[in-house]
Amino acid sequence: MQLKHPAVAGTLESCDVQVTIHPNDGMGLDIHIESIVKAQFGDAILETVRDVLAAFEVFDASVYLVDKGALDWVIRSRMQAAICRAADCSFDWVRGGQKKKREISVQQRVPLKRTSLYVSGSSPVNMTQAVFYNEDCMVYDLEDSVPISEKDAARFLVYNAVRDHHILDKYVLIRINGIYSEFIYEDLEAAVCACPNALRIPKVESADEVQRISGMVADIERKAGLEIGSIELWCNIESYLGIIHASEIAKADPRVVALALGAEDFTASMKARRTKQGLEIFYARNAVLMACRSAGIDAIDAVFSDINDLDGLHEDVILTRNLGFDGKTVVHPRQIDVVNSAFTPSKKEIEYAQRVLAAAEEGKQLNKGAVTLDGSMIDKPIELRALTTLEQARAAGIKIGGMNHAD
Amino acid sequence: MPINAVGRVLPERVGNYVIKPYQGVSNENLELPKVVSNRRPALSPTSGSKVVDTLEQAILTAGLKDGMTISFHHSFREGDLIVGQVLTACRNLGIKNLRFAPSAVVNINNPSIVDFVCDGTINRIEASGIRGELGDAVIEGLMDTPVILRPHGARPRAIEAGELEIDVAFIGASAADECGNATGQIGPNACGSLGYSFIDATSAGKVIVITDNLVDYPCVPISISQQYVDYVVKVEKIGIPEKIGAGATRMTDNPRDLMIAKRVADVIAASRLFRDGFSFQTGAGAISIACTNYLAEYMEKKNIKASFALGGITANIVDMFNKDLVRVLLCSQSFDSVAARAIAEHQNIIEIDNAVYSNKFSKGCMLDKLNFGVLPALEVDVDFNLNILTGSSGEMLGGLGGGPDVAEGADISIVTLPIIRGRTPSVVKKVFTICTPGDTVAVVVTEAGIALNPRHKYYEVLKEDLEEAGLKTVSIEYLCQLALSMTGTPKPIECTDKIVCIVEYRDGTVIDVIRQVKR
Repeated sequence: MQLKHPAVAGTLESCDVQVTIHPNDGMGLDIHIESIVKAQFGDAILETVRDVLAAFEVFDASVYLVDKGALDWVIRSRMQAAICRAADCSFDWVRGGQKKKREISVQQRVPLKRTSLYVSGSSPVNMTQAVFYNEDCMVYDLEDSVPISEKDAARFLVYNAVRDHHILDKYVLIRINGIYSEFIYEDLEAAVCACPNALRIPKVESADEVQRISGMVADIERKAGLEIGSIELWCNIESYLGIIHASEIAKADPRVVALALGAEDFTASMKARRTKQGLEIFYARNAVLMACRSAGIDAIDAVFSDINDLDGLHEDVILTRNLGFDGKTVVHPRQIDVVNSAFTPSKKEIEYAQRVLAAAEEGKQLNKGAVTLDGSMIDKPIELRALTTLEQARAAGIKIGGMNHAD
Repeated sequence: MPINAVGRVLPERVGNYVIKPYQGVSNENLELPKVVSNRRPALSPTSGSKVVDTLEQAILTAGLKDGMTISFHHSFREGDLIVGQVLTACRNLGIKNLRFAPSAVVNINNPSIVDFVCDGTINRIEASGIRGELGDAVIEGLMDTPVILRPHGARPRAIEAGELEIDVAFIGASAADECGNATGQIGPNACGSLGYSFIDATSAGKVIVITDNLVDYPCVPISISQQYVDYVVKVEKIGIPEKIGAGATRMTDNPRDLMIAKRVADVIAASRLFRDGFSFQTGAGAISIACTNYLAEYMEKKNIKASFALGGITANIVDMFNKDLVRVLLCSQSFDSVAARAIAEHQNIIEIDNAVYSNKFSKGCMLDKLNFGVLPALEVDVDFNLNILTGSSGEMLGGLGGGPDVAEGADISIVTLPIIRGRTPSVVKKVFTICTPGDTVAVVVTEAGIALNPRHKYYEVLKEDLEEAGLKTVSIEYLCQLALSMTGTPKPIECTDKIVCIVEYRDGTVIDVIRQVKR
């Protein structure tokens, strides 16, 4: 690959690396590394740099790295971004992605969705740390938190993070840019090839949009040799139109497993004022909930924006839970524990869940078609809800004696 | 060459220093050192005043000569202006080859201690830590004689045993009277407890009190008593208040550190030792401060009160005291101005001698009564050994402080650290420098999980308590593997054969040495 002009990628912030690359026509490779961990990792860094250059078939370049303790996947990402910028090309995600395939672990239990934390795809330090917080779902963001000029670099960071920095077995999402943005196709390619559990689509307003995205995802899955349909979709509902069409959106495609309310954009579209009490989104919350319940998928409540008001958050998330939501989007790690704890089931709920599962199990043993408990039918959603309740209890550190149906 | 109880190969001697290899923490066969003192008899001056006009004059009158040992306390932290002034005076007087033996060397830059080593004023150093520029220079091979590093509890032991005989002690005080009664609790440069200098006052050949705040006789409170003081010097300025610790130490907002801190409080609250009358030491690092706050929340929620908090005291511990959550604060050091002034304001907030705080070789030290001790570390290895001195590339980053003392003394010692810092793994196979033996570490708390030490005396009990509370644990090997999977395996630090630091354990045995790093 021919480099056309000098380019820079990355920053001088902690846990990041700044790569400056120049064409070096006919002069071979010239690599300089400045690093706070040079004594321990100088050789490893050099190897990664050479590896990325070789993968792009760049044989003539002068590369200058200023490393602030970046992990290998960050160095790789910054190198890839710098080369693509210097060569004015985009990355072949489908081809580039075949070198190493991440095994998606089979979720034996129902995945919890109490908290989904947005992590900016332009911050290596936040991405490095976010895997360790107590959030159930981690959403690497390519959209609002990434400036236009960094969209390309963020794709590399997110792609490599999902593939190589998948430390604890968390449910991982990537929020791509919206269906009408110029970035959608490349975002989808990068995101699908990274193999997250799900994609989160911003500002969905119709079933048709979901179906188009699902089709594009299937195309990429096919090209990349991935299992078709393995990647789930979460749709952000953040406008009055999205609310009006919430029911159709929820049932638009088998990939859709959750709707998530976005309150800020929704209130803007309504000419409403956002308040902490949230009466202005009360209808929207219920509309999303009803859509999800009728489709049998999960409902995720809106962000509580004031990250310094944990008491306010607590009050808000109690309402979230009482209304019936399965979880809430959070924008700061300190919000995680407050939200998680609100989703801790009561003793009564746990006991009921255990009885539901016992009855369902008994039904299976006796090969009964319909199972009842206390005179009510137990259908699949009720059983799933019981499993979720026990999972939430377990996640909250509650020991569940006797029956471990989810194991 | 002998191998000590933590597996380190040590030479039999380094120069004149004869190495006694570390034998383990067992109290059996412990040899009690003799207690000797360098203290000299003297009478009150006939004038009734001990005030001398200049530092030079005091130094001359005290009889400080080439090759002698001088000492300081580190309670002014990075705001200290005394060490620099005294060493400059020594240099002006042409005194050479001093042994510099402060309780700790903090990072002071103007002037730097390195300058006094380079010009020959100092040729030996013994302290609990050598932070900053000096530390880096020492690791690079600045000194001919290795620096002896001792935890807080080992210093009074070494002084009383005659291993560290102090000729002249310079004691900075934020207030003093003409007869030498002195304190750190009042005045514009108050630093709080002077606990680290008590042993110097009672053991040194000569004692010089230095203040910028000469008050009417008698200076109250009396931290350092006039009966031990030979001279008093008034200088223009002894410290920079902002750097001594202005205001209250602030809480971190790093979410990773907060999570670790919360987990530490979770562990403490889960323990059966967390009950009315329990005791704790949390320290002053970013994670420690946050941990103190979380602990206070648990105490309020469960209505549990502590009997005492020990060691370096911070504003938020004083706050707990004011809320009646802790009955007594025992301060060997005061980490901020709130804590510094609290001693004079409250009967149950007490300045304590570092020796009673941490010296195992006395008739009982207070940290043996601790239930919980929270300790920071730079590295921990799969044997739970702690490195609290050196960074990933062998640079000097910390001090021993009371770490090894607290780990052994407290029932449950809890180490806090992130598993990686940048690309540097901090849970490793072998720490670069062993400072605290793994046998004394009960719990390691990281952002990636809690690991219990199966060799610790409280292991079974803790395991049961944590399980009961629903706190998940992981193995230390898992944490190590996880860290390495993120960072890759670092290349080992290359060293020469030259020993630049000797790391003593509480009993004066050698737990490790630091060799010169090859650059």
